[in-house]
Amino acid sequence: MKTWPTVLVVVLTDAVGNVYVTRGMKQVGEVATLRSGELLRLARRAMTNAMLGLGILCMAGSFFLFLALHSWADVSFVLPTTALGYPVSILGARYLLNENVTPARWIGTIFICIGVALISLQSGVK
Amino acid sequence: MKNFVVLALIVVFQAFGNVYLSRGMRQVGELDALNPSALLAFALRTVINPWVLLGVALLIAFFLVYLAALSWLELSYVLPMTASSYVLTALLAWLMLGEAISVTRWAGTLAVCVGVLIDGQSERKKVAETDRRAHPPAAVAWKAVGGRGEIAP
Repeated sequence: MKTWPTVLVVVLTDAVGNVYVTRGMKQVGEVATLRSGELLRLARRAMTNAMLGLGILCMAGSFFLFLALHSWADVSFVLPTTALGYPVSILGARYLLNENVTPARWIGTIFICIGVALISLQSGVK
Repeated sequence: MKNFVVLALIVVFQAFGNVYLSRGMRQVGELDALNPSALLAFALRTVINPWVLLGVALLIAFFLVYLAALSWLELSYVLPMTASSYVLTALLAWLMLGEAISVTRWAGTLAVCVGVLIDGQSERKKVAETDRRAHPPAAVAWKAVGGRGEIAP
């Protein structure tokens, strides 16, 4: 009974993580060069960016909760549900980041979601 | 071009990282007991395994390049495109780890390919359109020959 709520939290924290990480990196600024001085400056800005830190924290939390989920739920159930992260993250990109998500992007994402679910269906089998 | 290189690096780093980590963890073996000394021995075996180290290094590189990509690309473009790593991982698992890939898995791989192609195609059209609107042909030609900044009116 606690499995579905946990899956939901795993998917949501991962999507929120992606949204915050994107927002953070847009604030840090475009990585437009490979010169070491410039990269170092960007790295310093990245390390002090709160949005980015929050995003990575969400992603890490999602990952550990995902591992915990494995301790009581079936692998064949847990792994395909990670595919849900794709459409949920795209929803976040559309409504929180105000990205222009074209119909083609939605269709592509749905194909990927189905594909990832099918791939992971049997990943737990040795 | 820059977009393509960065997305390709993301996919390659992630796929190879997963495969090497997987190979390393198989050498490390299963964790069979939960007492402290067994856990410690397991942790030690894990952190000195060269394949594990290589896999983790590649996965860290993957995350850094992913962050770099998000600094100028949209999340709704990058995320679907990086799903191609599932396709590469399936191929590598088949070729390098000798895993048997079921029909279901190949079907899933095909669906991911179709999705990635649709996503990539849509972006190409979008970029072409915004380029036409934002930069009149003269400005595009100016940029194409390596000109920087705006053309003086």
